[in-house]
Amino acid sequence: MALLEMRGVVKRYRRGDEDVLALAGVDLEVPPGELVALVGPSGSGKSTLLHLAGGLDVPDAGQVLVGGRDLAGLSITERARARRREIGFVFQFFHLLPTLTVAENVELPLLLDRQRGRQARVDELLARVGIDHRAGHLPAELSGGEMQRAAIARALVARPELLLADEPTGNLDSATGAEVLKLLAEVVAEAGTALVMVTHDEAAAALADRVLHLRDGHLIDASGG
Amino acid sequence: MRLLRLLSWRPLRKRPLRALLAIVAVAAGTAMAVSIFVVRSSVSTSVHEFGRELAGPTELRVVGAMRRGGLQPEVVDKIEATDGVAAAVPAVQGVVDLNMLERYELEDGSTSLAMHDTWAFLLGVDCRAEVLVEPFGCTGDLVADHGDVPLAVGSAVTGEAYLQTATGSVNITSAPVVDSLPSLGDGRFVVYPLPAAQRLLARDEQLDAVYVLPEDGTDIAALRHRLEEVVGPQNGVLASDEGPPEIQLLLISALPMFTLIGLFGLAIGALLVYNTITLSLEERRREIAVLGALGGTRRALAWTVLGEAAVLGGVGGILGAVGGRFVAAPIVHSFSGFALSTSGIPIDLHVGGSSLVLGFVAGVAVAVAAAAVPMRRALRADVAGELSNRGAGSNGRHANFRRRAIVCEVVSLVGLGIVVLASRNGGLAKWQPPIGGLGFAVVAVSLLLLGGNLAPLAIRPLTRLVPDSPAGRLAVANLLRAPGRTAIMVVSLAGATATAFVTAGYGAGIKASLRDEILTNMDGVSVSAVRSGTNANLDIALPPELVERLASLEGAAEVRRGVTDLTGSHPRDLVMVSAWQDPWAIKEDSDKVVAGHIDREAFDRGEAVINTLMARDTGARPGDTVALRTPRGMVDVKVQAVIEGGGLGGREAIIPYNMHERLYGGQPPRSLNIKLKPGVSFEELERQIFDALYRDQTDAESLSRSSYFVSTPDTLVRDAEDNVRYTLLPFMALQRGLLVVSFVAVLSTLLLVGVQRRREMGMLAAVGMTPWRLAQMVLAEAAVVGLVAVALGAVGGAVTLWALVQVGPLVVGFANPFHPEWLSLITSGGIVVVVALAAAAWPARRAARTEVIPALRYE
Repeated sequence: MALLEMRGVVKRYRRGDEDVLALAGVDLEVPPGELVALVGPSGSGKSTLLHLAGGLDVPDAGQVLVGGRDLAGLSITERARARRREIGFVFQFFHLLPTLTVAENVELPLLLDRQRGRQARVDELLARVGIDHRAGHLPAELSGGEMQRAAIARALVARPELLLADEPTGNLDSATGAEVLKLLAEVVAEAGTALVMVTHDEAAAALADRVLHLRDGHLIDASGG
Repeated sequence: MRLLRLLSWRPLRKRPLRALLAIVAVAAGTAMAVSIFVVRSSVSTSVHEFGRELAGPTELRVVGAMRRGGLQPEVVDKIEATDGVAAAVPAVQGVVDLNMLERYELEDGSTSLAMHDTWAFLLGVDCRAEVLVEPFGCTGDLVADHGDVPLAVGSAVTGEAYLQTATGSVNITSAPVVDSLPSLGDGRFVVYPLPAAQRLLARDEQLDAVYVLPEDGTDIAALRHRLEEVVGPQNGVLASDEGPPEIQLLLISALPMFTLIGLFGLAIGALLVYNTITLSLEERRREIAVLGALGGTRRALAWTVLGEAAVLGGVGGILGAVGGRFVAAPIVHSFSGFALSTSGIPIDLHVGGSSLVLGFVAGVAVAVAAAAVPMRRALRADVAGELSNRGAGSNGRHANFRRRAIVCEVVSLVGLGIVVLASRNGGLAKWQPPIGGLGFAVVAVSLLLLGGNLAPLAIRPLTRLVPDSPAGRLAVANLLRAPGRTAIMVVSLAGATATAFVTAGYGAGIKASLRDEILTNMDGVSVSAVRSGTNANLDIALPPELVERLASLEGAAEVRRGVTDLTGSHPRDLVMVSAWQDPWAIKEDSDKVVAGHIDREAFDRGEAVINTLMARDTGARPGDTVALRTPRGMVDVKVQAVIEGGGLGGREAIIPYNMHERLYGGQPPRSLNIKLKPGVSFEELERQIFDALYRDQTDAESLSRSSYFVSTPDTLVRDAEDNVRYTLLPFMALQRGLLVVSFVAVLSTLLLVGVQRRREMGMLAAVGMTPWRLAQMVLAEAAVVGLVAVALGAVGGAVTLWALVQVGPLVVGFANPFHPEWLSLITSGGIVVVVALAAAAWPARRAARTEVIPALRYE
């Protein structure tokens, strides 16, 4: 069974006086453990697709199913729970909370879910992504690569089945970006997590099991799948 | 708890400036509100302490129909014979003028005199008073009338001391001083034997009060009821430590106005917290979106916002409670002057722990309530949109303000309609005063909100009027871009402007009214034992031989007396019963008649003219009768007309002078009006009066011992204007408080907006805007806000003043003309603009010191 399924998904949004059709009937299936790269020109709706997949938004038409459940049918609270436990996010601009330390940022999803034994899990992940020596530092004291590693650790701390990454290397230099990509691919493979990654990076696309193009609101499987 | 610590309180520590501004905002507003509580508590506590000190162990106190000599002596026997009474202590008590002289040796060897003029509480008792204090070896001989030397004086009576009483000046220098009874008038009291006190206060054999000590085990409520039956309906039975009703009336009449102003301050504080939290949430909107993306529930997010608000509110509330003491101090001082001259009771500032609790609770409540709306807005934000940098558009904001302005305008018109309805036909119906108060409150609040909603609309045309200055144009654009924040600044500044304008206008109206009445009607020179405008409860009078001397003056055509007596024992019973030999007091062509008409002949035969407040409370109209309390019982008097006018507590009944003498006994006059003989000027008669008053007193010392006040019409007008100014001082103090709140409003808003616009400032600096121009932009914003606030505050203030003039007679009984003091705007408006600029100085400095690169990177 597909972990993530999108059926005929349509999404519009308003920009000023204009109605923009971001997705014009998208169909997608992502099985568990697959790494999917999503590419397309700016404004093609890639981030919109990711947000719908993560339950941050609901489609105007169609269905988005994660683990067999239609996200649009869930209440706001249930969607939030799903994001805490089943879905992880990695953003282009990291989005670490500036007043929390690295360790506290990573701990946040577990704290929001009121889970016990958080510290051990946090320590484990910080060591895995290679920034355990920066646990007590604030984000402003970290390099871009370190911040993205922390964001990856935060996204995986709750052992999600689905990881959604929006241009994870978009704000990094090429060398750092490559390191982060390699790390991302490794940790999701270790955890058996499916990864849907929006990217402009050819190297990222090369790592993917499947590359999908989004153009004019439609999804095209570039790898012929 | 950990979530609160990480997401609410940690950001506060990391952004101390924002936290400090919100705390100060809450503190400023809470201080205003707590000050009212402190004032009320100070009045109640001071009155209670005084009463308890005076009453000793007694539980009840019988008072007469009127303050001075209202109890017949035979009532004591009736009280003693009542079941459950262990002892009855008769007393005479009054407030007299106390002059204390101090001599200073000068360098040249001569002596200089300094006189301290104040009030003192005079108490007259006999040996039965040993029940009130410890036995002091009292004998009948001790309490016989041995002349003018008191039995004891309080510790505050120092140096060479003279009392001014109904019999003239009395030297009490050699009286023994007692240190006990420290709460009694702060040591300003004098104790006489009962007969001596009755003589000095012109009571004949009448009494003022009887203190009742119950037998052990007596039910006090039942005893009170029995005593009420025994003493008759014209007399009253109070708790022995209960304050005089005129003091209670002070709380009932003056405090609501102060409370309204205090609540306004609290509302501004809430708006500032709202402002701060809104800006904080706007800055943190990305954070909130991330928390939502990570699975944070709305409840968790709500708790973080409310937790932050609660901390700010709690700290601000406690600081405000401390600040409330300082706001309350001048108000308490003003009330103390009134209470001292009315009842000999000084009001001291009492700040208890409960004010801290109140401040804390009010601060938390205000902050949490203020945070609710921005919190809800933040929780409804589009998470996906925020993460995609799709911000909400600002289209339609001006349309919202326009709509809100229309709503406010309609509401204010409704309020004005209610005010008009309440003041129709003299406001004689019972429902009219509360409706009038409601209407006034609706007008005042809606106009204030209207000002805030009109602010963006008023600023918009300035884009065309502003000269070709980048700082000015940017300033106007910034204000228009954030109309909500602009409105908050304008509302607080306009509120301060309007309060000053209304206070000045109302005071000017009172002065104009008094001036007109005095100059039109007064046809002689006034001689008084008290300063004009002083409350009628003072036991000071012009001695009989002095009155005879004045009547025989060459320039005097006639001596006319006036007398006022306060009757009733409860705020709802208080009536000032006045009588004047001056014909202009009751004129047939008076423009103050609201119902009926004045028939001087019928009046002189024994009818009464009552004021609107009395007509409203009793329901009496021309042709009806009113029951007046007299020492001998209730007396029905026919009402001839209802006029505008106010006595203490508002209710007044004017009766013929000879009728007053018959019902209340002949009393020495406190003031006289000496009519001019034809051909004699005011100044000539004034000179003759001075000669008559002081011809036996040639040195400074004797002149200091007794003081009389001689006033021509011009002097009376001047005194009246001074009294009005003094009476309005508490309102001016509160207006200053509002200015402080406004300062905080502008400072906090501009500082926080500066933080938010940091990247914008960096961009402006990057494209060539100099530091001075950046500062100018911020100062220009403050100047525009200040000027718009003054304009809107003036218009709103004028309308509010008009509404106040309409409802004024419903509350205080006096009608005043509508007299806006437009020139006062120059001063008060100037101060408001200066306050706005001063508040902008720090934000302007920060703007000027913007570092370009860090600012451009700011997120």
